[in-house]
Amino acid sequence: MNKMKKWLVTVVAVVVLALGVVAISGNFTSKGLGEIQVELVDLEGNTESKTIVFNEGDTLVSLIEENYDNVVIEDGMVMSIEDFTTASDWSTFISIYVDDEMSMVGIKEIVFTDGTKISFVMTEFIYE
Amino acid sequence: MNKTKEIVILALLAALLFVQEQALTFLPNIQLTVFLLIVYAKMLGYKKTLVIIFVHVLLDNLIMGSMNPVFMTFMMIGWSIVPIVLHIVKVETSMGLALLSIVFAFVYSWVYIIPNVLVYEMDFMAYLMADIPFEVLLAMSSFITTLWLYEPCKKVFIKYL
Repeated sequence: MNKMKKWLVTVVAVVVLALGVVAISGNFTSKGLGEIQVELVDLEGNTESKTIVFNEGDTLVSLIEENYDNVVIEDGMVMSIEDFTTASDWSTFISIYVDDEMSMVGIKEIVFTDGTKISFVMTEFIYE
Repeated sequence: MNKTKEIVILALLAALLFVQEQALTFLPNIQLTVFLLIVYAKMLGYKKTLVIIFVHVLLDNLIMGSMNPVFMTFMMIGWSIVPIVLHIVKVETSMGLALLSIVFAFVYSWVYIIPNVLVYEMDFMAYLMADIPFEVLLAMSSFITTLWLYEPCKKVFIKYL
């Protein structure tokens, strides 16, 4: 195969790749100013709520890390936040809800806008 | 190749497949899985590659997932398409394989939507639309790595195996 042609398609592929990375990472940063409501809900249903102001370019991870103690995130999963900790045997874990619906993606991939409610709910694993 | 050497090589290649995927998890959907499966399928044949895929799916679900049989089945089907198609379609050039890698990346991504729809009752079209940028990344990384690394890897396989 012509070397020039090979380089050319590679450059095109790299550009598409770079655009894809930028598009994906840009999706999860805020596009302006606003507020999100963050809730911590324990196993008994007790709720602690906090309103967090965000600026353009903030990510949910950065906002949570700045506003809460003991935040540990692994592979997009919140392993601990404040007094909540995922048990080593996963008998209890922290699930994330966005506007009262369970998030299907990890915290790094949650898209938020002004008024979004994020809940970290301590959940008991139920074996069926 | 004697049996012991064969088992050791398959284990080593399965480990390589799994480790690269874990090592690249910090990058969104950029991995060498499609490229490695193409190399394995071309160099070892589809049967041995299917064994590697089975071990890979098992390990992946053991470490990353919840050993959900629905997800495991579709993951297995998705990756198995690579060696099966390469067994049927005879493509030898790195450019041809690189173009096929794009198809494999998209097909695997689409197959993986099915368990998400079945288990989590997600809307198929909504998932598909949200997944497109990730599919493009997998396709492009597979294309580039296959285009540039297939021939050198083929030489290494021929020399040492």
